[in-house]
Amino acid sequence: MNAETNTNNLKAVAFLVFTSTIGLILGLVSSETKFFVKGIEAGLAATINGSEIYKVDYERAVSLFEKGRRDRASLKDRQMILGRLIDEELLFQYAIDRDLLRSDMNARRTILQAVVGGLEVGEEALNQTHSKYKLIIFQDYLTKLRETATIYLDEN
Amino acid sequence: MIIRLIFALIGLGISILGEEFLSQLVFDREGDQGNLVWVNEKPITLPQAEIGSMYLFGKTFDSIDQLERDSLTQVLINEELLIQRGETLKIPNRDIGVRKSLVSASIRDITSKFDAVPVSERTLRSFFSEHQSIFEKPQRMALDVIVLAKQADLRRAKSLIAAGRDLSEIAKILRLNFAMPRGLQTLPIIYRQLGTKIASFAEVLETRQISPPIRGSGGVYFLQLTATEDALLPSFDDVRDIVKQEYRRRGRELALREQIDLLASEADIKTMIMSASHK
Repeated sequence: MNAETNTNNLKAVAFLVFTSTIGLILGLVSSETKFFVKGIEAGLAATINGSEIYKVDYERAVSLFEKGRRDRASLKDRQMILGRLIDEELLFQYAIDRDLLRSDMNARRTILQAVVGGLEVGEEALNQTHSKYKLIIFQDYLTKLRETATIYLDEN
Repeated sequence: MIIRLIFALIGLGISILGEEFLSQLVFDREGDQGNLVWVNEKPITLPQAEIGSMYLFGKTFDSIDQLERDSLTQVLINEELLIQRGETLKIPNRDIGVRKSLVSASIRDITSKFDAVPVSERTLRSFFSEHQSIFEKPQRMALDVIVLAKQADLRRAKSLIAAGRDLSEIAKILRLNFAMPRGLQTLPIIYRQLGTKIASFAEVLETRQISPPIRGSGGVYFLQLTATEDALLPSFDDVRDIVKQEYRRRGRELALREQIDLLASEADIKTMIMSASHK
């Protein structure tokens, strides 16, 4: 009677372990699949630390690659192209992490041009194309930015 | 019990000080390189001021006077405000030009670390001996190539060849142009110009020998090898600068690949395209 109870207990424990393992595996597979399906639905080719590479950008890169070639991009070529896009995103994140936006003079100049360029587009929309007005608007913009900023000299 | 209480108090302290405490630590570390001014908790560093000073005044930051220093500070504050505005608008992510510029900045940052290491003469010499094929001057050959489209010309050419005439003479007699430049050229270039089928005949010719007729696009081809130049390995001293350039180029490529691989190994990368995988 006792031996039979022990066997039943062992069976129950084994069953519990088995079912929880299956449950765990199914859960993991399900979350990965959900992510995968979600990604496809969102038109994603890949994500890198949460940053997205869209399928449309990937396909654009593939067609650029195919331009001037007789054959279509092979599977290997496509892997290489996605790999390059991922490399680019990793390098972009590297630059952001190391604040190269400020310390690299070329990158610094490019962002400053982009921000100022954005202002000029706004001015054109207002038909303020005269350089004198442009300067005034730019100065106003900087004044507003300064008003809301915390600026202090380093005393050390 | 007391130990638990101490731990609980430490935990409470950290949660109260929280972000401010940590940011203070970070700012202190940033401050090690020296800061000029703080704009929205972001430092404008002395190295930045140094670069700005050289750019605006052509002098080091230490050598400019107070007036110049003040105007430089104002310029740097304005720039910092604009950069912060750009970050708020997510311009680095959205503007393709800024994005590319940042990627290039990363490449410069990574490869400059390799470039900063001096290269010894011994390293260059060993690189040269390990990669001799790169520096070898390849074998070259000069060919006369004629193409005959008409049957009558072909018959005439065959009889002239049988009479021991060179292709240059035959071209003159039949008023033909040569199908490719007559000077010395490397094999890959010859292959590109003639195609694999015809160029393969050139490889087995002896000097002055004429190939058998080869049918190709546009007619029947005849090739004659007129001169050859053997592959030549120059001495290290002759190509020292090229060796150094190549060593640097490969080193930069390797440094970049290693860094990207390291970044990839630490990153969370998910690919949605079935066939794709990173690397």
